[in-house]
Amino acid sequence: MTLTIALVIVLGTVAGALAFGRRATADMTNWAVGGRRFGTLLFWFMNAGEVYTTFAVLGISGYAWALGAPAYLAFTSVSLSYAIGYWLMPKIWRAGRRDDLLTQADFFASHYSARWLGVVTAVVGIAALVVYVQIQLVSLSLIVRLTLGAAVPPTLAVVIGAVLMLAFVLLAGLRSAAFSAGVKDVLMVVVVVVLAATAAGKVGAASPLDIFRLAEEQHPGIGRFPGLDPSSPTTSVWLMTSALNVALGNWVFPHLFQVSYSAKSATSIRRNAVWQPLYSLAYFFIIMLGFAALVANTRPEGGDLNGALLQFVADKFPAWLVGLVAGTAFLLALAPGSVLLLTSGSLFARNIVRPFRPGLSDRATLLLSRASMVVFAGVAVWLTIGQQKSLVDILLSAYSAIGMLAPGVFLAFLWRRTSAVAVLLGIAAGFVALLAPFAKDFWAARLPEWEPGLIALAVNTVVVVVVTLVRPRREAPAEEREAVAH
Amino acid sequence: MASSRAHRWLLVLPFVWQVGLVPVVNDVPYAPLHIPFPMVWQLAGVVFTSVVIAVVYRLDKRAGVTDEDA
Repeated sequence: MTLTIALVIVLGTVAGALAFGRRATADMTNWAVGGRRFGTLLFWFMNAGEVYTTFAVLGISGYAWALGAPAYLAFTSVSLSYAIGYWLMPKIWRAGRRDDLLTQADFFASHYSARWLGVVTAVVGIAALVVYVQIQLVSLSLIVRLTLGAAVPPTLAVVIGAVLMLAFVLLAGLRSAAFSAGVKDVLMVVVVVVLAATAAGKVGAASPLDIFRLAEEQHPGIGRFPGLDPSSPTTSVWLMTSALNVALGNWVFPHLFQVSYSAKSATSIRRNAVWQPLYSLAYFFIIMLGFAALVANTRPEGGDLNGALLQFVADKFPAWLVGLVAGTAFLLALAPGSVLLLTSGSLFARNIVRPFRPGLSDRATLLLSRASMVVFAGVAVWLTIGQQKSLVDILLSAYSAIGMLAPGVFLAFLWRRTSAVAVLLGIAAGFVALLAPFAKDFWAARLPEWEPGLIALAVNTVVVVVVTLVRPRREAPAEEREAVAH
Repeated sequence: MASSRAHRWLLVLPFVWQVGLVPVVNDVPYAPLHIPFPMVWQLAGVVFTSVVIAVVYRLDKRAGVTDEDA
């Protein structure tokens, strides 16, 4: 029953997506940025599709189950990103249209007139994307085991997840992903509302809101920082620094950068920014379900917090609903996961290989980018196997990595004097502050509640500004071209 | 041009609400409908952010920002 319903949902959506995206795979512009034609509706689903991944459902409910209040990070992630995106995304969109850019590294290479900076930023971007793909793989392996049975070894489940994701992305491009994102968003709202409405009865609460009372009664302090465990480092300061790091890093992710390119006009971007935050109110139900799982004393296999919601559903709900949840969760991982792989593939072919092999044809570039996706999926599988980190923690690592490109993006629009060399030195200094053992130990000792990614971002920014100031002034050709064009 | 965009500074307000005031509301014991207050605060913050962005969108239109303007 569970397997049948999950299969119907996934295969039905794939068939629909293929029909919808059939004509769209002919060239790189169509494949990677949807031909820059996404109007308000498609653009909405494209954005929502990237926001609502398995991280949102399994990661946040797991955090609520294990920690409580720290799950509120979800409420800040979307709204604050759009408060910045309202200003930033149209600027990225315009640069994309003006200079015919397809990837984020194209932007760096073109704006800073430095091809080598495109190569460097492509490498950083791919690294962050592969970490992000891990989130979808961890989730897919949990869902595979929910539908096929716990007899499937976790390692095999991760590999099956990766194969499914590759099959999904190789069959079509961004238009198909937008279609599947639309289907999964509607399904997700249905699933979450059905679960939230019936969860109270399953855990002995008088009403859905009564779940919060029971949780507070059994675990005093769960609803405020630092959460369930009074000694946890997840204090108010943790939330504040993590929320800022997520908001500043969000649009710097290469796939979200490309989402900005795909819009039809700056107005459709801005209109979307007005409404998109409201969608994140759905996190209320997801956190409620995490609390319900806690009240029901759910014990996921191996204490894995990412599996808390699925375990709760499997324990308490009928098979048809488990199938609906599984099918939706598959789409939640596959649609965004395919966009992540697609973006890494484009970055690799266009911005890492092409600068060294300028004669490469469009067709060869497309083939190369598809082949490289298989490799990146393999790396993500390798990273995923054998580790059991929270999806939220993996997400924060991905944001810390991509945050290293943030100063170069923001300063491109704020301070035209910023130079390519300064951006490069900033990235280098930022990564030392983020990854070097001595730096890690220092932050952990001095600022244990601070998100390390935000500290590294600050170090990076200071270096970019200082280097730009001490280097002699130089002409900025990209900006001059803009002056001529308008 | 720059002066007509001054209203965009309103976009800082969501950060004041959802980040700046987090420590201030963390110890409020009041839980309307059993929902912990810090959570109510963030829920309201999401709505507040949408309202602020909508106001900026309106002011942008009034300032003559077009489809092609970034």
